[in-house]
Amino acid sequence: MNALPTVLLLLHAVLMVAAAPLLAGVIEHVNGRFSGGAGVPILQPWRDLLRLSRKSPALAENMSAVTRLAPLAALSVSGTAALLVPSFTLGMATAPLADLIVLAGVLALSRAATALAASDAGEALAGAGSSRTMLAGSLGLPAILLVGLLFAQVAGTTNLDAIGAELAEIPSGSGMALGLGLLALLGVALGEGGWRRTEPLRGGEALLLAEASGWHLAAYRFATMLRRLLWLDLIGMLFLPWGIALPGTGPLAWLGGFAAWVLKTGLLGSGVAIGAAGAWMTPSRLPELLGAAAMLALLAAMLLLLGQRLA
Amino acid sequence: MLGAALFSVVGSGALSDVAVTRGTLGATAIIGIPLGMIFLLSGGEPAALPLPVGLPGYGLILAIDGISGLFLLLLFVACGAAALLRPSDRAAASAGEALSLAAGTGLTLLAGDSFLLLLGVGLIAAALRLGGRGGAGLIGFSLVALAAALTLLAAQPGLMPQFGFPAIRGAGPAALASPWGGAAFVLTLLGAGCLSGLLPFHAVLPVALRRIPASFVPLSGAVARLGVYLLIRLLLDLPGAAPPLWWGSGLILLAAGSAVIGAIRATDEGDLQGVIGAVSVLNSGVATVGIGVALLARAADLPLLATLALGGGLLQVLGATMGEILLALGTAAVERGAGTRRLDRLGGLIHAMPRSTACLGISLAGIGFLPPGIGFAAAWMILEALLAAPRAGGFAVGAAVAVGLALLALALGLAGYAAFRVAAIALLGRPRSPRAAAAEEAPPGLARTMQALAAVTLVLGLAPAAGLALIASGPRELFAASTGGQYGWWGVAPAAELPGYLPLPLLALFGVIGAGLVWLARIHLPRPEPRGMAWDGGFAAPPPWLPFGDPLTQYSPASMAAPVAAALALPARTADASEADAPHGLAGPVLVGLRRAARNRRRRVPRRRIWHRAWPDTPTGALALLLAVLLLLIAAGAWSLA
Repeated sequence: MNALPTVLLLLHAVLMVAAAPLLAGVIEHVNGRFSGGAGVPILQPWRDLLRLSRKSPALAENMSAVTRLAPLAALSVSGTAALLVPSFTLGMATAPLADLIVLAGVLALSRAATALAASDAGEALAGAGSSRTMLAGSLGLPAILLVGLLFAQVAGTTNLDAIGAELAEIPSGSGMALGLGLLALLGVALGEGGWRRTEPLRGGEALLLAEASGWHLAAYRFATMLRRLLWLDLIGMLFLPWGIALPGTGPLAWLGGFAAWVLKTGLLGSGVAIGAAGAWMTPSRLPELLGAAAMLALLAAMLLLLGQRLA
Repeated sequence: MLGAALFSVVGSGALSDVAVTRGTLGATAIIGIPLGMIFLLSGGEPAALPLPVGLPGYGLILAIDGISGLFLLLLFVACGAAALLRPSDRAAASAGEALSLAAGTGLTLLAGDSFLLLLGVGLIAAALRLGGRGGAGLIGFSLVALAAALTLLAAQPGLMPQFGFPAIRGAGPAALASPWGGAAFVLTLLGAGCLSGLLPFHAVLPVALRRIPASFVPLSGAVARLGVYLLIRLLLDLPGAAPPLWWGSGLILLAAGSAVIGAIRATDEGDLQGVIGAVSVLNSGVATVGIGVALLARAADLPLLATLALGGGLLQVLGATMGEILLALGTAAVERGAGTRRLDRLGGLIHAMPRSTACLGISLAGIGFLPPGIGFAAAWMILEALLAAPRAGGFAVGAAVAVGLALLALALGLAGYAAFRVAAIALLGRPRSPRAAAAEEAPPGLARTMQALAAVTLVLGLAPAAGLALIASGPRELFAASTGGQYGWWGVAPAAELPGYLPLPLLALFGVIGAGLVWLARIHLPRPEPRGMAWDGGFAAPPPWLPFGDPLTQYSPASMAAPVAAALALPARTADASEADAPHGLAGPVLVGLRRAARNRRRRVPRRRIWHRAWPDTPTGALALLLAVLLLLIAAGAWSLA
């Protein structure tokens, strides 16, 4: 039996675990710089996570088993999602599972675990945060699936690995439609939240985790970091499919893929962080943003379908 | 099998004795469920039984095949669940009604000709009429529409119309593309839509369900699925030929729209039984999208795609009906244990009713289309079929598919929100009334049945192949292609060589990572966890006579519904009395609409503010408007090309 896909998966897993807090550090640093400050050190989220993970959580008297299980569930489900999206190479052991619709479902599951835990103690602010988070996830779904329609037209499947292989083989033709799809998916990624350290009007994530503490809080934060990183991975592999190592290539191609991945993720991450630093990104505008993303994705799908029929 | 199914029909009539009703329903379930399973798993070979009664030359025919077998099986499960619930005194007065409902549904499913089918639907209408339920007038209307549609489908130039289904199928491609064929399509939509809550009739079911006795509610899921069955029978099976493309795209748009409306309504219902009604509309809509794609695929002669789509639709029927029956049983348990079904009086049931809460949680995960539930597997198949559907036709078909996909995605997302809302409000948090604080666990019989149903739902979600084995015979008969793809028991795939959805490996991945985390936590976290009051969010401390805190400081069902209305720019709907005593019958929905319009007018929004509301005052809003205009231009251009 070939062990290579499993080795690649393990490398990818190590990369994800190491890079998720780093990305959070970069985002916070860029955010701080663009808000006129000095910016926190890039390693600060790592230190926060380690410090929190050594503390026991303070639990509410009337909590149930949900509070105990949810951090583990949220982190393991987010971790699964992060293992599905290819970063530096295709052909990982999870390739047969990596379906775009399944990914959307797994992300919804992780969000639901966090939101259920927030509703467990019956605390008003956490309840408000949980409803906002769940609603943002719900309203983001049309844009994700319409982007899926784009790539199903190009590659004939919604499997991410197969789409990646297809994109590497053919230069993608309809640039306009893909550009609009890129904008749409960036909007959905922004809707994931947590792109700003100090969100005005206390954004969804701050409210959501109002009741969590100790290593529970560390687990939720790490899950959010993983989700943010996987959005960038997904956007990078779908819309900037350059450099990613193909199945059956050697360590040199992996290194090339890694360099390309660092470049893409850094660029996209700083871009989104700068976008999110603007004063326009308030939680109350989130539905509008996601609605605009869905419209953009619909437009992209229409353009692609029209182009196919005219060609 | 035929005989067992007839049992429920024979036992009907004007029986009003509670014990007889429950006994008949229970016996039907006990005989019918095993027979139905055997019939479906052994391949679902079609069988017909001509009856010695009827008009001269038009003998009545009873028939069964893979599709009606699945719906019958679900009806039997619903009968069993309904037999288990002890009706209240009010419900006992109309025990015969429940039996007639079940009998009418069974007769419609077993009909092998138009007369019996209409007789079955008529029995349902009569049952609702006798019980004074809302919607009876509409079901009567549905009867007329179905009769007309069947006559049009059976009509052949120069010949007497045929009424036996084999004869109608054999009539060949009788001008489906003509205006008469179109009329048959529209009439079928109207007739079947009344039952399953398709778009113009989306309000009937939730309003009716809010008022019927709890012991009928498990039956409602099976009765509502009858609309889906009629669509399959009349649009896919009986025409026996490829329909025009617009049937498929029209049905996709209509069904996705109904699903959205059902989902929005489910996020807004204040009563668990009302939630079941709204979820039923949503689920039927999602399943009907699958039928729409199957129609498209049949029109374009793509049997594999048709099989995937119809398979997804039938799997959704299976999962959704099981989920709704489980939710109905859970609602009955909550009503018995906590004294109310109203969400704003529940809360914290996970402490008092842990077993019922676990079962309700499994049902809600399926209804919210979360993986690895059965709902997600069905939705995955329907979405895959929808994503492949643009190749069935030109740009018009592609545009309809894209819009239908956006609507369906919105519906699925909002369904997750609605399921989360019920779980967060009723099952978690603090009790909102003293009665809910003193709730009692369900009695053992009910609890065991709920656990069994929940276990079946879980297994079906983890191994969709088990569900596919039950539903496979219908698509195989219609399209001569098999459902499920390459993975066997591990998952489903759209086609033999394409990758698919694999719930078990996915669950294993969750498990491995979770186990690693538990191991880490064990090593690093031996310390005890401090416990204390939850943060009060800045509210004043509750008085000592409120041991669970002030219920008003908790997030409420209405506050959970408000963001959806705000995000979709809907007028905020308050749970007022006018909705409960809404007029029923044929003109009901129209009257409700008029009343609502009058109410809105009374509110007197100043003219300037209306203009303000229509004009987006934010950059993203303006962007959305711009995109809408662009989209319209593209559509117009495409239409002129096509």
